[in-house]
Amino acid sequence: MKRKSLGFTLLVSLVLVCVLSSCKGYELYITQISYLSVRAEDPKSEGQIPQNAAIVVYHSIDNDGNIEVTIKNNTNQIMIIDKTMSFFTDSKGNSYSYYDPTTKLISHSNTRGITNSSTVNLGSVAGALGVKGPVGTALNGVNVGKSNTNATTQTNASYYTDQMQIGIAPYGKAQLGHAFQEVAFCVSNFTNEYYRIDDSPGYLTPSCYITISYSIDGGNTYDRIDTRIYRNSLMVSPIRQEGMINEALRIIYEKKKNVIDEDWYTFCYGGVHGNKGTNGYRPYRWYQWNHKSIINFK
Amino acid sequence: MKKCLSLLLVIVLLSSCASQTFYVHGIPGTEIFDVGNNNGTKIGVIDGNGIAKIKMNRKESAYKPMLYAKVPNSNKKVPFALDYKHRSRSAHALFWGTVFVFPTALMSWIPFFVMNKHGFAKYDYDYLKHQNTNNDLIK
Repeated sequence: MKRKSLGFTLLVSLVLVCVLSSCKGYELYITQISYLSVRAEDPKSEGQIPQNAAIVVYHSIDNDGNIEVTIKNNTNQIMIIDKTMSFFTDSKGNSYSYYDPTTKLISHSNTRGITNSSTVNLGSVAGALGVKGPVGTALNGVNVGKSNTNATTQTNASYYTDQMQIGIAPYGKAQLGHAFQEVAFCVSNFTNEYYRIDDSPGYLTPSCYITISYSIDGGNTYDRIDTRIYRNSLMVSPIRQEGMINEALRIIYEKKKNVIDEDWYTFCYGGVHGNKGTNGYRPYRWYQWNHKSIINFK
Repeated sequence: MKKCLSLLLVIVLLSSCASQTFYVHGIPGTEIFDVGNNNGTKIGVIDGNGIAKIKMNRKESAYKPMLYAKVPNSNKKVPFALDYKHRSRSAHALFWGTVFVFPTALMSWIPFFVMNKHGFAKYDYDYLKHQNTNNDLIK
């Protein structure tokens, strides 16, 4: 008996060891560390906003380079933003208006289904539930034995039309609505070894421009505020030896000692992960960032 | 009773495997921060021998490649990356199989489920036992 039990245990153990050995787990291959930071051409901070500034513009940029613009009306007047005269110009020189003249159709579909699947004598149910009178009588003896589904699809269509102007209440904030992407600010786009730091932007430094036209006199006169945001550093440091990733980070740090002091920076650890055997490898991205809004005021 | 104690031992030991301890070498007094949020969370200090013992929980995130080292007597934080190596799954399974699977047929399946539950069977890499800060690069 004991020998039998021992034999069974050994067999199970062997199977388990084989299963664990053959089961390939999560593999990770980090192949590069990328670093990207951006700045405004004339960097400003929240603490520098003067009392008499009429407009403050906040530019929020995500890891993919999408730039969202929020405007704060710093006056006691109603501010009008003219979106037809407000622009995003990307690093390739393409200019886009914040006013989108196309009308968009937004549809919502809602499907409702009711399924009946029953073979009961409703009369008995009515009786059991104590339903009396005409209803109880009507149900009495009625057998139901069917299965059907009634589905109705309801589509609601709504049309979205952009506004040419937006009004902002005194001391209020509003978003411009459309986040444009600057591909030069998308750190995961870069895969080749590269090191470039532009502390003072030159003509060729990848930059985008945001121009906002605003009025604080009811639309009689318009002023504008321009912000140039440029990529002040981009570094892509490959991993030379598998798993030894600090060496790649050291190269970045040696070239730029203030890597984590920038108001807007992103580290991206890129590579592949997954399982070679079954599902294959998928891109691996790990981000570490500090994304303060880039501020401009006038 | 004996079986219960063994089972408990297995669970405790395997649960502890969901975290890993490694040593960070650097200038004594350097504080080590996790990069989880803006200010980070202090997870260790390099002692007089120039070593900090860091325990990372591998259950919370698959792999944390970067930490910060705060230079002594300064507010400056320096990032450093955590090196890793792939490990041999077969040797690992053999070890656990020999140690825990053998006692009884019933218990032999328990480690497998515990391993999976704690993510232990998912990761095929370890942080290197010894890591270095990049504080030496500060001039």
